[in-house]
Amino acid sequence: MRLPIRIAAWSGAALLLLAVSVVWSLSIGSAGMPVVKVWSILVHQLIGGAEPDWTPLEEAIVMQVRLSRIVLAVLVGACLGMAGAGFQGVLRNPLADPYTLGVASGSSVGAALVMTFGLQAAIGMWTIPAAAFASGLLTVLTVFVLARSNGRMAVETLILTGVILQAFLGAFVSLMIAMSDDEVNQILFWVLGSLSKRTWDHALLILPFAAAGLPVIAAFASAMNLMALGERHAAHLGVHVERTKLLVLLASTLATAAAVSVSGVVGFVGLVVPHLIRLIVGPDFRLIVPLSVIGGGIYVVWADTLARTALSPKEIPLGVLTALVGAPFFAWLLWRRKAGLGRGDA
Amino acid sequence: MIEVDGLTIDAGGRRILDNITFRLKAGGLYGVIGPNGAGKSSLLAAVSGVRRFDSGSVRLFGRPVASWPRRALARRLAVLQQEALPRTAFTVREVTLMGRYPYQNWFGGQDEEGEALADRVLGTLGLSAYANRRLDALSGGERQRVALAKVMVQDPELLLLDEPTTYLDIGYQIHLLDLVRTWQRSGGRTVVAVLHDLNLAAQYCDRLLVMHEGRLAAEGPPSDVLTSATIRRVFGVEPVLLPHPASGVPQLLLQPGGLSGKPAEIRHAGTAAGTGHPEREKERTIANER
Repeated sequence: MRLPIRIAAWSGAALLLLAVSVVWSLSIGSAGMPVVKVWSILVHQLIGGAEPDWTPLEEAIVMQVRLSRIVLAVLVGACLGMAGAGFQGVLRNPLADPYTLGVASGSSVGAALVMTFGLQAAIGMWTIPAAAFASGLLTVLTVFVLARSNGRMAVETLILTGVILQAFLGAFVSLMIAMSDDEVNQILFWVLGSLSKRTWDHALLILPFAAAGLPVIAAFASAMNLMALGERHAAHLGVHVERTKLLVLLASTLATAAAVSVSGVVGFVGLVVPHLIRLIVGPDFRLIVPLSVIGGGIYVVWADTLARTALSPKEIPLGVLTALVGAPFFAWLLWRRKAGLGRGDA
Repeated sequence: MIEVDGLTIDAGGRRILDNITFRLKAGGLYGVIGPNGAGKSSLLAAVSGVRRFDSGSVRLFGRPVASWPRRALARRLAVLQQEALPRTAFTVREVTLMGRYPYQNWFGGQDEEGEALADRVLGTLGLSAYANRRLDALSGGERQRVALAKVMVQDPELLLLDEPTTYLDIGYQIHLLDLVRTWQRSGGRTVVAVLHDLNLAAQYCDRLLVMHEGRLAAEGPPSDVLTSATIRRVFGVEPVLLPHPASGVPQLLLQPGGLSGKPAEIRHAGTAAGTGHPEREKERTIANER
């Protein structure tokens, strides 16, 4: 089948699954509203018509609380899935994920510092996201500078530098958690990731990063296919290897930093979603990149729905849930594939 | 086609290439031979534009190599590397079609000419039956043939081969070089191959460039270049040279204890620990960016 048709077919199917997931997630929650009412409110908001037979409070719950949170979940997942595909594509390492170069621990340090010194309101409600975004970005740029030699960034050096910086900054965050008396839960919960008490503004904040990152990373999908053969092969076929690495990593990092700054550290999505997609559609990044965006959205919507409903009224931290459910599922998929086909996936 | 003038590369305090000058005309199969660490791979990397050099100039198709846009150059120059393709989940046909990258737009699929060429090349190389098999299900020799299919589909005027037969058994070696020579002759193309095996080099190449300690030690047809004196000086081996019974080109027999003085390899291993290792030198040149 021709590639454009394959992309359209897979993306169509994935978007349908995303829509179903959003509908499902929107319809359940602790307020115990009937599904019909939820949908009446939504349809009324979108196309108007029908005299409201619900209270303003019920409308606020659907539109302000649930829908904003679900849209944010889609966007956070889209950013992480896309960034994961980008990182795995240019780092050519199955363990690479959006946090490999230290965005997550960098952002955590920024957020933890703000909380430790009680500066949460220094520049209004956006103090923590701003600090997390800036420190995450700064961390990755530091890795770029440290790993650069002779005008190029060797993949192995990049990964090693990222891992080392990550360990260092992670220790720093742990220190702040251990040292603070009354803020323990606050830092810890931020590090574990959550989408509760977020607003439409949070979704609007990361939308541009997702929207700007996608075309950049997708434009390099063919180049990442060739890089799977090795950087030299790609260079001899006319790929600008260093330019590809820099731009894809930069776009992925910006999207990741944006996602982390509003949601905290939601792990596992960026690692597992591109792998899942690869297991289903094969190694072509022209399919993996768009499908990882949608797949990431689906994954986080499901995870967050479980996070807010499973132990209601208590919330499970989102980052805990993505790994708790995702890891066994991924292990099962790998095992089934190994048993069925008897060959691995490079 | 290739004009190299005063090419010099220093790395890690060692002179890798020392003032190399030569011209290669279009149409011909040229061999580059020499002991380990003589600078053969560095020369190839500099000529293909992935390695920067300290002084001198390299011109390809009448234009300095550094001034070629990468994609435009990839339509005229291809490189077949020593290492076989990695075990990826791409199929033989997909990897072969990657050779069309310099001709394609983002979707890649609309290249009818490329598809037809890929089918022809896969047929020529006896890979048609493997077209839909994944690379991770093939042997090293088979993957090297896929790499050859990829560069043939790239349809270049000039092909550089860096020790393409290193990991192949003798059957595959002859097979690969036969394919390359037929392909070179049929299209009036030019091939420059770094070869380890002097006997294969003598039989397949029109002319040989002999490298020794970063310099060009000799250049000419195999029968002029492969003399006892040159082999003794360059390889540190006392050779027994015989004309090939069928073709008459010189062939080399080795004999135990036939070292004339210290062999070049041992001398090189001692200098500048770590920097003279050919594999490490290769790592350093991987995919630079202009």
